[in-house]
Amino acid sequence: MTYIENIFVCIAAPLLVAAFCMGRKYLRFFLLAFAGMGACLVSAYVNTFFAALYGAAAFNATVEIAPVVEEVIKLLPLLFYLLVFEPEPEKIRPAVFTVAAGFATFENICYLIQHGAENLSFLLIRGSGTGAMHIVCGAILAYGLMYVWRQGWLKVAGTCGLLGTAVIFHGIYNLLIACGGWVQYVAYALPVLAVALGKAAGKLLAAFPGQTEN
Amino acid sequence: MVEFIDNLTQLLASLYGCVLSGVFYLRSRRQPYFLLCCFYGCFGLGLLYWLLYTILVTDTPPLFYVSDIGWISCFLFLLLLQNSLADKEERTLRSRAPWLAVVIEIPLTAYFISIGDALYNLIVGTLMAAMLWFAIRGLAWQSKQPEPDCGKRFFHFVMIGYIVLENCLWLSSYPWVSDTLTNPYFWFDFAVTASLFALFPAVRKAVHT
Repeated sequence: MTYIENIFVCIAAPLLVAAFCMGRKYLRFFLLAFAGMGACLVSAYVNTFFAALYGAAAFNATVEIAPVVEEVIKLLPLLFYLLVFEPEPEKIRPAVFTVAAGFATFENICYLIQHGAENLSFLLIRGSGTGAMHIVCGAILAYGLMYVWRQGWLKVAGTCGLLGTAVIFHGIYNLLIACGGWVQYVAYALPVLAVALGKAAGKLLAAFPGQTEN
Repeated sequence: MVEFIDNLTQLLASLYGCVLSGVFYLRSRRQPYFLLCCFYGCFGLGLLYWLLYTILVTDTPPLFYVSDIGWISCFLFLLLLQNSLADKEERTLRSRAPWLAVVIEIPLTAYFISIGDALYNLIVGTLMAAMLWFAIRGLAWQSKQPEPDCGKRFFHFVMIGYIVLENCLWLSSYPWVSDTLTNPYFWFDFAVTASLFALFPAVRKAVHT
């Protein structure tokens, strides 16, 4: 049995002290990172609950339940931040990435505790792949939210649509991982490639100056 | 094999649409292209999940279909696209014609709920009714104009075609079980692929007129 909440406390305690020492300027970063890790903690419990409720096998829980639960719970602290603090569009992107990175970090720590840390090469590939996957899902939400959050009628439907996109990307990743064998390495490569493609698209975006905004 | 070819062509169609609408968004920064890109992207991702699942697991998901979430999202983006292309006056149009959408979709949704998942079919039925409503309202609005906008009329026709084909596809998926071309499901799915190809030029015409 993994005492996941104990792990959370041990990781959060030094960061919390650092947050108080570094002052208000960095407080938002630390709080969002905690929110990401907390979302990972909560989603672990909710995943287990739904897996037990549906009597799902480990494969089905990974492939069908986890992507939906994790992406929905990861969005909740962001929605709170967006609705309560109403940040500027340029502040949305770092917030989403910080939450995603906090989530991925905590997930990796839990994986290490459950499966051991002997095989460095595999852990490096897995850590990069999982980290990149959560960042890509965060990027889908971040860039999308920056766009849809500016326009009232687009907010709700746009956020739901973006959440669905993130869920499906996460689902594809989990499906490939759960199949094992060489297919799981495709899964690890997929988000890394997506990040590279995203960076290339960002450069393209900069090359095409905006003309009109409808 | 037929199902694989069918899904693969649809995946390529959505990839084509996603890339083209993405490039057009980068060049013009027009909102309809952004929403169209999101529609194609979501549709393609949902299909990719389904294709991978059927290849790797060779069975249908026992709990629920994650692809369905992607398809609900793509319908949401399509609805937003229709709304973004509607004129201001068009949105306030009072006409009986759009009620046809409700009349058509309610019995279909009731049928799908009776044989499938209630929540999913209710959400999709509502989205389909809203999309059909917008398309019929758009056509009604254009017919009232002294100089109708051909681009927007074409877009509304393509939208109606897409919605009708999707409904025919779902209707045909239940009574027939066959993996050969004798199954009308595949023909409707090929027609949906054709409508996906037609959607990009339709949006382009609607944006440029």
